[in-house]
Amino acid sequence: MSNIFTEQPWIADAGPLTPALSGAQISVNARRSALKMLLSVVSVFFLLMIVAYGGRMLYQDWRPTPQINLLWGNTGVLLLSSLCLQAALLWARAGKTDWVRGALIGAGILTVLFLVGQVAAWQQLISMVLGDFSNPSVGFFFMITGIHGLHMAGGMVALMRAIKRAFTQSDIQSIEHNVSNCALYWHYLLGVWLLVFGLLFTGDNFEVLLKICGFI
Amino acid sequence: MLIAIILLILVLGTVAFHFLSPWYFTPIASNWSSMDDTITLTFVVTGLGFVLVNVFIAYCLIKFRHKPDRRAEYEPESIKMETWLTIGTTVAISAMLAPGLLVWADVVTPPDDATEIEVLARQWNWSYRLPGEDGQLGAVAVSHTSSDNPLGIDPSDPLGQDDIVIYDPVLHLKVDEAVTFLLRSNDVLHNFTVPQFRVKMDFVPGQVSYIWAEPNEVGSYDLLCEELCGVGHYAMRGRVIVDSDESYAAWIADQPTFAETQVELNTNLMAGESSYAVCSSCHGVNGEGNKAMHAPGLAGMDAEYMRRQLRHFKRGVRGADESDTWGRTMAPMAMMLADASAINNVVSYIGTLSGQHDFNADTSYGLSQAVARFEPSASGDPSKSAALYGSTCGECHGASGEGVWTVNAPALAGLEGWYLAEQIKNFRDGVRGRHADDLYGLQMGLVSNTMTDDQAIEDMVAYITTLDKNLEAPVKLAQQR
Amino acid sequence: MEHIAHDETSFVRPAEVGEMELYHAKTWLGKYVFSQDAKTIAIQYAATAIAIGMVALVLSWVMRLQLGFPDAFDFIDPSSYLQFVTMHGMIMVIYLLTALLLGGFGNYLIPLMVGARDMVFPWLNMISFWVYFTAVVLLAASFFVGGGSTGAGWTLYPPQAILPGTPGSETGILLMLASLAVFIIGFTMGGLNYVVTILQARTRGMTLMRMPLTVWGIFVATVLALFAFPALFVSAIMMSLDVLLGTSFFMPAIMTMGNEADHVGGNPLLFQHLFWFFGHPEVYIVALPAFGIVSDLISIHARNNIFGYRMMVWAIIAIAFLSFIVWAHHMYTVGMNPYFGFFFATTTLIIAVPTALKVYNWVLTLWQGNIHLTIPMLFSIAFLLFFINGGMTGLFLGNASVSMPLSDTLFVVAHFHMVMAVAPVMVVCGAIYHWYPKITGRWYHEGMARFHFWVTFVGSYLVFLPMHYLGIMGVPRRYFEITGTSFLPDSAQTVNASITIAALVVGFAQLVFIYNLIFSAMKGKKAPGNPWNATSLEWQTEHTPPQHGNFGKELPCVYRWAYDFSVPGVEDDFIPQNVPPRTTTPEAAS
Repeated sequence: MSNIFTEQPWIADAGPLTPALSGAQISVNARRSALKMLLSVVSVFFLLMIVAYGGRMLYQDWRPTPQINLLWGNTGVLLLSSLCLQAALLWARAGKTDWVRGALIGAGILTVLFLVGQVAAWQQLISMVLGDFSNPSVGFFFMITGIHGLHMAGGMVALMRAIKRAFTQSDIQSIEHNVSNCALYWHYLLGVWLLVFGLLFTGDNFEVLLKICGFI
Repeated sequence: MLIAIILLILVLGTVAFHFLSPWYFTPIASNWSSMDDTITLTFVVTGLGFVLVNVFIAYCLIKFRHKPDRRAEYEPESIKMETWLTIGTTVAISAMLAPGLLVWADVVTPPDDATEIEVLARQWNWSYRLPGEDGQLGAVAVSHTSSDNPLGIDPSDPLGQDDIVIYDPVLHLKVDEAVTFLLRSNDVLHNFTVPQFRVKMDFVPGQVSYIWAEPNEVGSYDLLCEELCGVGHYAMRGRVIVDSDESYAAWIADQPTFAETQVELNTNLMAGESSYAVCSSCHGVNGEGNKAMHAPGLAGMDAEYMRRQLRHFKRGVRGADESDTWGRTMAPMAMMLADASAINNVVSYIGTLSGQHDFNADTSYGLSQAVARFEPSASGDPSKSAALYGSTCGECHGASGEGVWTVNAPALAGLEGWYLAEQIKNFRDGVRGRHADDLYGLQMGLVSNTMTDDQAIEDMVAYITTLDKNLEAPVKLAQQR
Repeated sequence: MEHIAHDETSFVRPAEVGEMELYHAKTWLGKYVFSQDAKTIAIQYAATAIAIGMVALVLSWVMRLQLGFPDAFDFIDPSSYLQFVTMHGMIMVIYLLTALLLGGFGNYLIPLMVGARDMVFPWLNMISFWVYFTAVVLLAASFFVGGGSTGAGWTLYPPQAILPGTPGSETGILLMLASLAVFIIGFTMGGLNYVVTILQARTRGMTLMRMPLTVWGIFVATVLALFAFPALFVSAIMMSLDVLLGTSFFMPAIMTMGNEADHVGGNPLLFQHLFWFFGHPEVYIVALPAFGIVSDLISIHARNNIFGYRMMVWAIIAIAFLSFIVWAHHMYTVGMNPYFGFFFATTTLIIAVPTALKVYNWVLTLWQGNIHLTIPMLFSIAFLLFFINGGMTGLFLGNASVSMPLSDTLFVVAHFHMVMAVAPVMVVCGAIYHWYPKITGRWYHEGMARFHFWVTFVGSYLVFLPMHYLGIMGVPRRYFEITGTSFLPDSAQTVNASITIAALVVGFAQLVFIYNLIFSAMKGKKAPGNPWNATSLEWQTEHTPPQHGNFGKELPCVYRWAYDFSVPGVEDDFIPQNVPPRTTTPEAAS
């Protein structure tokens, strides 16, 4: 009916063929739609930082950031929290409210653990570089991990609301919408983290990066 | 109706303005006439489009203006017409793009036989480096940079020893010889523009960018910075002189190599002392100056500044203006200094002077006079000029008037008030700093315009004289007597 | 037209389902200050944007005074000149035009034009305004801190932006970066709202291809802004870290004030790439809503359907897409790898094709029209002149080798003022006059409006046309004064002085404009609900000005596009979007 490629807009029609959506449905659609849009914007944001980082790596005087093993642990924790949310989503669909509550709280605790771990990693790095941030790779490390951490912390606000809702509302449908949005956000940020961590911070992956960027 | 007429007037006025006004490109002086041609082509194509579309609008406004019985014609779209318009536009745009890209291909590839000249830009002046006999430029680094080695040439690199260094904003080029300018900055972004050459390019600290041109008209051209580089941006002027082969050879023979400038640093104070004997009759045996003779105190004056001024006096860059009475007195004195090393010796000797009055030789000179010479000027109100000093003067001469060598700005603190006022007025009135080669003088001339009247200058002098924290020394000396 | 009965089976009546729940303010504060009604928020955005824009206007007068009459005034020195240049540019581009077109017009028109009760996230919308307001306060605060606001030019290029020698390099620049970051956060909230409202809350029958071009322009510009602003955000963070932590994102090893700085290995060009990756789309963030709005103004006031609606939509989308791959045409002479020039010159000139098509279609809408020379129409024609002129000079600057003699001169300044300052401002003025009766329920003063139009139209042209020729002569931009050169004739200063006088006169006319807006809102003649006989939904509301919730009991149902003007066989020369076809009595119309 309304295909933007073929529609001839000057032709009037007799009226819509589908009933109107309810306000509640519009609201659910809008939230999902806004989340997807937000994630696209955040993708551009991270992409730009990664491209800037990659471009800087090509210079002769590149010195990689020292390796921090704690990051492997943090990655595991973040993976678990994402799994918890996935589980919560599946249980919400199955209508198991108690299980949902447990999984959400688990995800919350793991996320806080991740953030604490990131701060600890920062402290390790600060002591490794003796407070000298003039090496660009160190600057990028703090900026990218910092911004990723802020996004996780922002997600915690939504997660807290989902937890509150899971404990106060009995309507499993509305819980499910919140949980599914949280799950999408967590999976997304996990993906961003894996990309960022894998590509930029696990030792000197310069060669791999060059290949991916098409320089060699 | 009115709107259609005004629209037509503006459009036809634009065309008339383009053809009748005297304002257009400077006469070209390089090989880039192809750029002028593409611009002319672009003017023709876009001008036609501009006139046609606007005249059509005016026609529609007249023809289809509202009348009680008029009704618009309903036509949602016409794919055919839109397709033809797309094709026509694409053709017109290609006609401009294709020649533009061809010229760009020339811009990005300097000819192999082009001479390489390094231009160093820094806030807010220019210097240059030409390869010496080995035809290669030596290595440079910011960490080697100092007032003795302003270009930061690596002293251990043999390739750099014979590099010809020009610490002066005037560059000479040989006519009809292609030059690749290697652009290097060691502070912020700058830009190399000679309007008559057409091409321009930015300097980016941390890298060397390039642009090439083949100047083909003998003459003297302004060099401008066209990338905002701070407060002094508009005053960052240089000069490029395109010489015939003979005058170029004469000029280049005069320019020192890097190794020579390093040798000059070894000075002979004895020789300097004997040269200074002439100077002392006006400037005082201790370089304390003499207001009655309009001779400023020299002790404590910036060494590089004095060397430059002596060179300028010698070459007639300063002290040649008819109304510059005291500069004209100085010029023949500077002639007595034979060469760069003589200048260097005397300046080094001046650096050892105390600047204090010789109280023993002249008993009539009292404590109050000794102190008064260094006391803040009373004829102005320093509070009125503090802000202007901070925002403008201090950006070059330093927040406390200590001078900043990279900017070529001499220290002001410690200079006498009368001398400051006299020189600022000279700059403002064009008595000093208007010689084509005196680009730092021009800089001061431009900046002195920010003081709109004599009182503003007095206020500024009053402020600058408060910056001198070294009042105790003369007092102590006078008391010892 | 023949009277044909409805085929009931092919039509579903507006169902009685629970609609969007609206927030109803209980207090005065909630209704007027922290309002969640998009229309109130729109007016807050517009008022704040115009207020800070007036500051930028005054700054431009001061700049012009210095350029026209150098050294005649005590209150301006090279530092303050650069600060005024910087603040004028930044305020006008971001805090006035972006905020006014998207935050102001977007908020007011999107829900009304797509037939929604309000934005889908009213609370977020309210927060978005107050975040924007905070950004404006931070920006204004930088005038008053030690060292003053930044004077690095609106492009804020490092290293100079954060080094001594540039005004405001200590506090001013940090406040500017903070203000921009806050602005972007606020905008992202608002922008998500606009986009999602358009995607999810259109009324029934309002297909994407039936939306008025105003909505299309704002929609695509918002998407563009959402994707472009992150680049500015990243660069603002990186530059702040360079200042605060001593990182070296943009700072190579350099000297400053005679000493070696503590940085090593940064790349100043990285900032420029990030900045222009945002900065070029920003041009279209301002231009696309103006394109959309002017399409509607021309169509309505020429009583003619917009010619080639589909092409107009696709041109907007094409321009938006291309605007992300042309950014380095701002960088031909900045020392980047010059081979990039080939690519960017080509993409840049390609973008001229859809843009030219839009111009043709506007002009062809006038063709065979029934042109009412109302104030909005006059401003639309002025827009066409400025936009065509600015577009043509864009072909000089987009073509790498042609741009070389012209870049960094006043030619560039004249070009972008024509194309993205005066042209959109013409649309903004036309749009304000056009929707004024709907927003306030009253008429503006016609005489003052005509005075405002003629002075602004002719005056702005006299300001910016001669400026091109100063640039062609070689006068650089951002120069405090141009004396002491050997290549400029003395008459260049005459040109400068005449530009200044014209600019001051144009500036004065804007005061008349503001006075007219305020005065008429209180004392103007009462206006009817649909004074222009327009078709789009905002003119079909039950009340004028529209009340909270926009429409009456039921949301309107849309049967046609917004350009049914002068349809053959229909007596009126317009058919509102919510009038069903094949009936002679438009019962659904309010």
